[in-house]
Amino acid sequence: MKNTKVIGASIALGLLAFTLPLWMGSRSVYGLDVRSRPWHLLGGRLSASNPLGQAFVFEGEGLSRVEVALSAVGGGPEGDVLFELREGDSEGPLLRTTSARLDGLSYDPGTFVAFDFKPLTRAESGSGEFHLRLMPLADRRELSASPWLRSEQMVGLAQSVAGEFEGRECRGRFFSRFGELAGLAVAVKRVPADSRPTLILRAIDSETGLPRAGAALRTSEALQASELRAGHLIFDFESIENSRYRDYALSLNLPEGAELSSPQNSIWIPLHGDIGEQDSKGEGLSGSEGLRGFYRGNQVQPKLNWIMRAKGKVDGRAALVQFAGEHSLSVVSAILLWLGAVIGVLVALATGRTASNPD
Amino acid sequence: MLSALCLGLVYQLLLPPWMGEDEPWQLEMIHWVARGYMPGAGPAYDKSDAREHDLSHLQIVRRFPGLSLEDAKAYETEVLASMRRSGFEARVDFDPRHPAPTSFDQIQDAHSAASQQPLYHVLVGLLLRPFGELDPLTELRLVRALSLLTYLGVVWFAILLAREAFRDFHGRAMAVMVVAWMPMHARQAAVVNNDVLVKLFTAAAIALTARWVAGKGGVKERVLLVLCLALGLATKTTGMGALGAVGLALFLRRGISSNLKSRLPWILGLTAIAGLALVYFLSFHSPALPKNVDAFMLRVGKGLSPSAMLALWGSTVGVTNWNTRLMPDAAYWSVGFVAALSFVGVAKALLKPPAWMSRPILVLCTGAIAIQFALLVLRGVAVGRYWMPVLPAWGVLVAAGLLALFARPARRIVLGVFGGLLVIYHGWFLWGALVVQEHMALGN
Repeated sequence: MKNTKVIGASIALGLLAFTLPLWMGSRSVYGLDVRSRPWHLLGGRLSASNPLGQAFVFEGEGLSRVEVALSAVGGGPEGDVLFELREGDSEGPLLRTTSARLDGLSYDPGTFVAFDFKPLTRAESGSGEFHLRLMPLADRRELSASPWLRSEQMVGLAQSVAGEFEGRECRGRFFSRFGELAGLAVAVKRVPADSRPTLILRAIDSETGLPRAGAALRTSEALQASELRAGHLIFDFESIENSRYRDYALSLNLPEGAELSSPQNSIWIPLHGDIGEQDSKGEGLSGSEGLRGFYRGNQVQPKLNWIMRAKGKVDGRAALVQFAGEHSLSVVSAILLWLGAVIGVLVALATGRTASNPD
Repeated sequence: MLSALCLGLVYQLLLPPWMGEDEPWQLEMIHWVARGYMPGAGPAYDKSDAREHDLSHLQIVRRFPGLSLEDAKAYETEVLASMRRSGFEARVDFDPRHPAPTSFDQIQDAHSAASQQPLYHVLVGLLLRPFGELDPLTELRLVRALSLLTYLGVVWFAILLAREAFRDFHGRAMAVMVVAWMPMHARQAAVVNNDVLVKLFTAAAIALTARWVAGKGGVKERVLLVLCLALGLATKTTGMGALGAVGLALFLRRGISSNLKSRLPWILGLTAIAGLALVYFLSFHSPALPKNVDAFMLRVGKGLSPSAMLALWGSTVGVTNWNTRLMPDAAYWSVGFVAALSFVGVAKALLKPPAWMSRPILVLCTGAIAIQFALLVLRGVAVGRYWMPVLPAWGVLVAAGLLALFARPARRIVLGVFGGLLVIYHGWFLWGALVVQEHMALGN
């Protein structure tokens, strides 16, 4: 009789310790979830004249929350940020607006700021393509906050580059740890609108240790249609296949009015290969599924996307059903074994019979 | 034991492929032993080699004489393809998602299991050899089954230790339950890593040391103890903690005369084992040993830093997806509260041990934990699985501490409440964190 009661209580406890965490945990599942870590690239300061945006696809039902990773830049954040959600592209119909206060934002590791709104109806969801935009609320011209970005390229090891970086003509030397060097990013305080900062890369002669004469190995222009403040300036170029463990001389030509964030300690971030259109889960899916490019003003940068997540009404439930469906045999077996484990331990505790206490 | 077996099987079913930390590197070592190679001194490499080839290929070729760079690259490419098919990139947030990876460097640069002691890889590789040519996923599943056995082995040695530590049922049951039901330990029942083997040898060494301290066992057990010490050290540097525990036992053992002469053979023997182990570690370019005094000081600074302590606690209490996704803060605070409570109880028990508890064993367990943590600080790393070789000692301390705070009639209730809470905490980790984060919340 006593054992029956203990077994009953064990089953109840085992079920509670299984269903409650699963239900609670499933609420943390997002329909769109960019998880890249660590965060390396900043999109630039939020400003009224130059709003920053992101195009994305959300296929779930009833989109009701978007979270974006923001970083404090400059003097730290102050004021409220306005969130706009449009259907389709940046010119599409406005679906929702909301705002959030930027309190407690840090630089590292940055913070997800949540924007909650009334769930979209089926009619409003349309094709599932959306455009979000952030800008300062009310009369503020700009905010000391910037979105974190992920690159479609593989981000290598950031390194301090020795050289002269205080004027408009900057020179330094960069060591590439990996092959397929395809881009370099550097933090800037400001780059004016309608400018073309240029990066020239030359191979280093292994015998003399000097840059090779003749034509440059790669030249890249980073066209800035609108002003970039407190973000990363990114130079893309054709991938250099054998860049592993090699030194390169780099020269940077900045336009009038441009300034690097820390000229005395210039940190450069290498980008390798090209991850775009790669599959992370199965055949035929894009690795950056759901992400359609970062916007600064009207200029889109398709290889960059916000670190963001979006949630609908039933994401957790849908994920739970999918998990149970795909692994039904394992899940059922695991639940039975889990209950067996709980019953085993609680019966042993209640009866005082264990391997350590065989009597 | 049956309960532990069920729990271990749950992890065999639910832990997705390649989601045990460092599994690709560990399995690579096992694979080459299974394919007929043995670890030794292969060709050295220099910077010019590193320009042309990936470090992970060079390091594995240096470890296995006769292995070609092409074969090393082919196997890593095969493993990486298997990882991609299993959704590794969507689960591990720091994975850079290279389009066509051919080298483990593209997951984590300058990392390899080739610089670790190869006992685990050799033993498991030899067991795998009769199965012939297998794909990486099948190899992984077979080796994971062995981890279940080592997990059960650790629980068995925790039982042996608990019998020496406590004379009553409550202490024994609670100590063993802590070991079997600690989520990050139970999860290792399905992880391919040399941590699982060093844990088994160290748990055995501590349990046998406890029996020695209690005046039990004969010469055969002493020989077995020395063997477990040596095998632990030949498996991983984290086996070093057991050596300290045995050293401590020299001063706790019943019936030993206080003169130095009787202890001298043991002291010399342990010193010789430690010395040999250091030489052995050096011969494998072990990253556990600093290259110079500056590097050593840097490691100590890192090991003592608040961020390292937080990371250590995080990976002890519960973390998923290759240490990238933590549980809610409430989990760490709750477990921390129970741990703090047990520390208070341990202090009380050490000062005035109750009759149902063995003070020398309590001192032994406290010493083993302290030594293992000191080694972690010296190493400058903050990963929970590195202190888990002394987990049975931790189980004894938690049980001793919590039960010492209460009088006998209440201890039964304390045990029941603790058991229930442990089940809930484990359920939280397993169903609310591991299943959700590794199966349902896949990153885009």
